[in-house]
Amino acid sequence: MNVFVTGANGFLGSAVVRALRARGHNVLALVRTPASAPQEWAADAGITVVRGDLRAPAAWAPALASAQAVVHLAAAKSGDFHEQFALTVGGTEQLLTAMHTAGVERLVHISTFSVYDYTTPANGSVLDETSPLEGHPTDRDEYAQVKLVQERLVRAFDGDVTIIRPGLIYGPDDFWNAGRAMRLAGRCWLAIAPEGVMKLTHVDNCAEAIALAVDTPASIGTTLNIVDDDLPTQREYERMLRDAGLDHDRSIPVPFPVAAFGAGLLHRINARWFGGRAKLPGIAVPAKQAARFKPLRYTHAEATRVLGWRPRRTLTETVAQAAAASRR
Amino acid sequence: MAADTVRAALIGCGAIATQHLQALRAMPGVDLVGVCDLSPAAATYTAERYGTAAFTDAAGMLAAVRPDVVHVLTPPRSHRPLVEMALQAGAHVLCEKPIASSAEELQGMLALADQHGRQLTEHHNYLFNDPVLQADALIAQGRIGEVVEADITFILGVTEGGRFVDENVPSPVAHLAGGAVHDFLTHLSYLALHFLGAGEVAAVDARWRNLSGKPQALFDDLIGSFEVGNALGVVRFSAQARPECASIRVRGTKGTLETDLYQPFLRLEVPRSRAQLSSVVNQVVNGVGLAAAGGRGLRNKVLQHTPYHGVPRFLAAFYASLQGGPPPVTRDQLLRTTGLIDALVAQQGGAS
Repeated sequence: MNVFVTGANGFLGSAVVRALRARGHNVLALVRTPASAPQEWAADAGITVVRGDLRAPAAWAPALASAQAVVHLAAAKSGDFHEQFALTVGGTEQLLTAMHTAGVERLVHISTFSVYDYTTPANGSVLDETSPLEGHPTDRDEYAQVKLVQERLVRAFDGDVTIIRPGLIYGPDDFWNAGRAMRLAGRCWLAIAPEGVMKLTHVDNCAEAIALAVDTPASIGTTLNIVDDDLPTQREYERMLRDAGLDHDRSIPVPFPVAAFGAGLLHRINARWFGGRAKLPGIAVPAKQAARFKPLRYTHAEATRVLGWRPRRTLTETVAQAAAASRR
Repeated sequence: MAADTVRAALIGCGAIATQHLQALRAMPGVDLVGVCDLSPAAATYTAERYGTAAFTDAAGMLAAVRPDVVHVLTPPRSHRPLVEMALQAGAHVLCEKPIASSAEELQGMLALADQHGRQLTEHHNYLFNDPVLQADALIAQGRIGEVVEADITFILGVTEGGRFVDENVPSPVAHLAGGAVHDFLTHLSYLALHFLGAGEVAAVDARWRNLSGKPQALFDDLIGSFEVGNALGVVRFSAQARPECASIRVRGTKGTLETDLYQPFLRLEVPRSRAQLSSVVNQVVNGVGLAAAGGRGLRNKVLQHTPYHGVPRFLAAFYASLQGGPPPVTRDQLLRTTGLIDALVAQQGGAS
């Protein structure tokens, strides 16, 4: 079938295009700057590059009309609230309207773990698809606020929707600075919650789950968290990368309860003496800190049950592969 | 609801709307009765956040909630039709800049306001920022003598990315002759005119350039000058230079003051009591002042005292004017500002 993919040349997007092609689908790849599209696309007759921005439908609506399904990945990752809202929510609004007009019903929407409430769950508890969503979005960063609004829009769409919530997507070219919180100076970093489990998913594993969802009618109406097996703690993760020669920085580790106590204290000082107006770095704001670092446990049981998906690429193998590449 | 409550409504729920909404929420006697945006998601989100009704059709909102005041906060292209619609619905109107694409258009809008007995104003918010108020006080005290020159320079990296240079989504000011510069021309013009007094604007000259090479920006660089009586006005926009700033320099017959809207400080070069040591005293005083401004800058950043702090003051002045107070900007200021923009634009493709 023809699958219209938004955000197709992003980190996850290009892997999704590969996974869809591997499953025999033709891809209509929506990109804002065709020059940044992967080179292998040019030689593949099954990939059609569609240039455009979701906010301006005239450029891409005709291509969408020839699709039988949509994978929606495009979203703003930076910028202020209104910039992200315009791109992520405004873009999704245009996409859903165009799908409705063209009669395209099937949608696999890429949400995020950021939509969950991290303040309420107890340390060490399992966060899964039944966990509550953030009830106080304005305590969180712009990305979480905007993705919550976007997911609500998608849920209201009158079509066949699957919602995928990937964890932290990594790959051989991006290990997220070993999951540390903030650079203090030079090679010295602050690492919050070294005891916490990293909610990692390899970009190819995540892409495969998305492609499987497109092909799995039973996934319609479901919401699926995507994380890999054998998730390491932040400390273990950092050690793996150091041992492989991929990371040479140092961490000052701060256990989560200590960091949470500090953020709580700052929060009370801010409320008491500054009317809550003081803008502090995210890692010092309780709800934002919890969303990134609270030690919780994660599972892909639902994705495995619905899609039959199993993460095939492992962290050990990916680290070894990246280490070999860095030695070349 | 008290009988003397003013009913306010907003059209356009973008970034600037947040500033208006936060200001309105803090104003006593104002009831937000509706917000409108073409995007249902934006209208709904804003309405939920500020506890009001959401609309996607401006005419429908005006008919349904009958506001006393309408804030027009949409992209410039729709200002005129929406302002006229709101005036005809019997509302006073506060419109974001630029209110009109020409002085002639503005005159028509003001005539319509008169016809309906309503106030119409353009948001000249920076006139109410601390640095401008501080400069006003010093000038009123005669510290720099008679003003002979006002130089307003905005440096903003608007061509590195974003809405003015997007290759897929048309710029919100694509239809305006000044391109990316045009979005800031209102601020540059009203600030320069503010310091130069009420005489006639003459000898307008302007050099318009596109230095980024990005056609979507149309123009991203302006050097403009004009005269008011014997005084000189300079308006400058650059997207290339750094750091970003909104600099104000006013020279007088006795001294010079300099400040900035984004990184507020005050540099005052004036005669001191021991005239022969004035330059030394000025440098010491300004050095201490600059160090203190650094501390205040950090506090402002943490406590979010942003360059938008003039907005609540402008809104308060506008709402007070509806009860008989003086308007935040006079009709003459509105017309002179738009007239100066017309004259600067008329220089495009001229001498160069």
